[in-house]
Amino acid sequence: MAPHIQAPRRSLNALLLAVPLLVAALASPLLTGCASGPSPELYQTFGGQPGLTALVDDFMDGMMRNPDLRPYFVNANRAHIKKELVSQFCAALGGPCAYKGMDMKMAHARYGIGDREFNALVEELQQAMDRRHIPYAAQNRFLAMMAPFRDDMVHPAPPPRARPPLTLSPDAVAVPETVPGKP
Amino acid sequence: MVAQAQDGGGIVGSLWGRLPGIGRGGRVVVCLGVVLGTIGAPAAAATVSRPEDPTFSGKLLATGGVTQVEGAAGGGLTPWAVIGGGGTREEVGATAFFTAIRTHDYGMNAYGALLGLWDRVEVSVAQNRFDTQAIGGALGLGDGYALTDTIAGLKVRVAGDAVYDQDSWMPQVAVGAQYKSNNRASLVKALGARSDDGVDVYASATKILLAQSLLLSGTLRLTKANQTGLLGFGGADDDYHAEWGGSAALLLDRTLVAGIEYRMKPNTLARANPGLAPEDDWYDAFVAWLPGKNLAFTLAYVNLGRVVTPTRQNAIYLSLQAGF
Repeated sequence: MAPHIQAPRRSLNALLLAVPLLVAALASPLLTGCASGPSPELYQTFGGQPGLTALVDDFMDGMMRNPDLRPYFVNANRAHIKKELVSQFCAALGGPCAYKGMDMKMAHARYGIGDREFNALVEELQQAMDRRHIPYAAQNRFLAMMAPFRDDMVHPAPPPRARPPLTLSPDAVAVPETVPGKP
Repeated sequence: MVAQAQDGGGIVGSLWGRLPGIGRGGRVVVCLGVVLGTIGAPAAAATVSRPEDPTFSGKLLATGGVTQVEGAAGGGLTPWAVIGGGGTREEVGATAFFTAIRTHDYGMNAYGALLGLWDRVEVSVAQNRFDTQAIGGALGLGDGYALTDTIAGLKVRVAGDAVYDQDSWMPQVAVGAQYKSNNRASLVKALGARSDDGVDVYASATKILLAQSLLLSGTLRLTKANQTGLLGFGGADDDYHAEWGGSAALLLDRTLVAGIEYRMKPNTLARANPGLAPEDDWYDAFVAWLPGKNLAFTLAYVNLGRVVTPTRQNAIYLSLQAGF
């Protein structure tokens, strides 16, 4: 009895699985506005240039409040970083901008950023987007475009974490008489 | 070393020691200038680095999944390729779970804990306690007769990142094994099973299509288990059977995931023992709520098919997971 009942039951069950799977796969692009990747419509969802400026202000404020992230920005030129972030986000979303800032890998190579710190940054960005009432599906479309930057920014095995103290004893170097400005 | 650090040798000191040939001329001045420049830079940016002390729960919310009945991180029925717990590649994490499944005729409790190591290795232990309730009495085993399966699991992430590899189709891939031991050896062997213990091996591929807010996961499992091991291992044959499991879930918001799962199972025991109803595949529809990094609740409707008797077992599934 079992074997010949087994086959139709399986295919029925597989069908039961396939239908909602298909519905889910078809419905989700509808929910997210039928597209992925940059588009002027997505850029407008983020409020265009004024929206992005406000978002990045809020994002940076959040990072400065986050003990995991504050050390990376406290001594940095935050106004400049924010300007670069706005143009980078604008370009990624499909706005009328081009990111001309520093290569992401170069900009982050020396910091020994880990997964924890990168994830903390993502969460601050998500919270800033929530505060700007950007729909979750649009947030994810944006994050999907930014996600590949992680590999440029995160160094799973960072170089030695702390630089040894650099002080020189007074007689370590004899400065020649010819050096200009010697007292 | 200590003395060198204290007298300020550091990098310059050791360089000096290794390169005795350098004259005390211009090159030294250049070197000194670089050193002073680094110390004097207002940003002092190069000294920012990760914390030295261990940290925990650095993973993005919900990306460790919940826990499936056999104790591996995943959905409710099948494992996912994610490593459980909140640990990133620099961290370790752990979770404990308790799951209650109630059908009209049976009750099953699953509980256990897992350790996630550096987002690479997952070690888990779990027990499934299957209570036959009144069916046990009807079968002459006594009301509330219970079978307990103890499971030790190991999972290793071998490639990919389910969350961050958004510019490729590459899923996160993991391989795993689950050793299972049943405490009712004489009963399961009397029913026709070949053994009271066995090992399942599986490979999982999990992908989050973030732009679509969609999670897809598939698992191929090689198993001899009857009803995941609750009724022993092997029966009409003692061969490994390749069985698929799959999950599809929509990310509704940052704390809410809803989806469906399907898990195929072999049907070897009923072929050995015509007195038993054939074993069916399992499927479910679930909603998981992860209000924070330490807590997850899952509610599901599960169809367990026929279990021993010809009645189809529709179940309510409720799971709690806590960890870091």
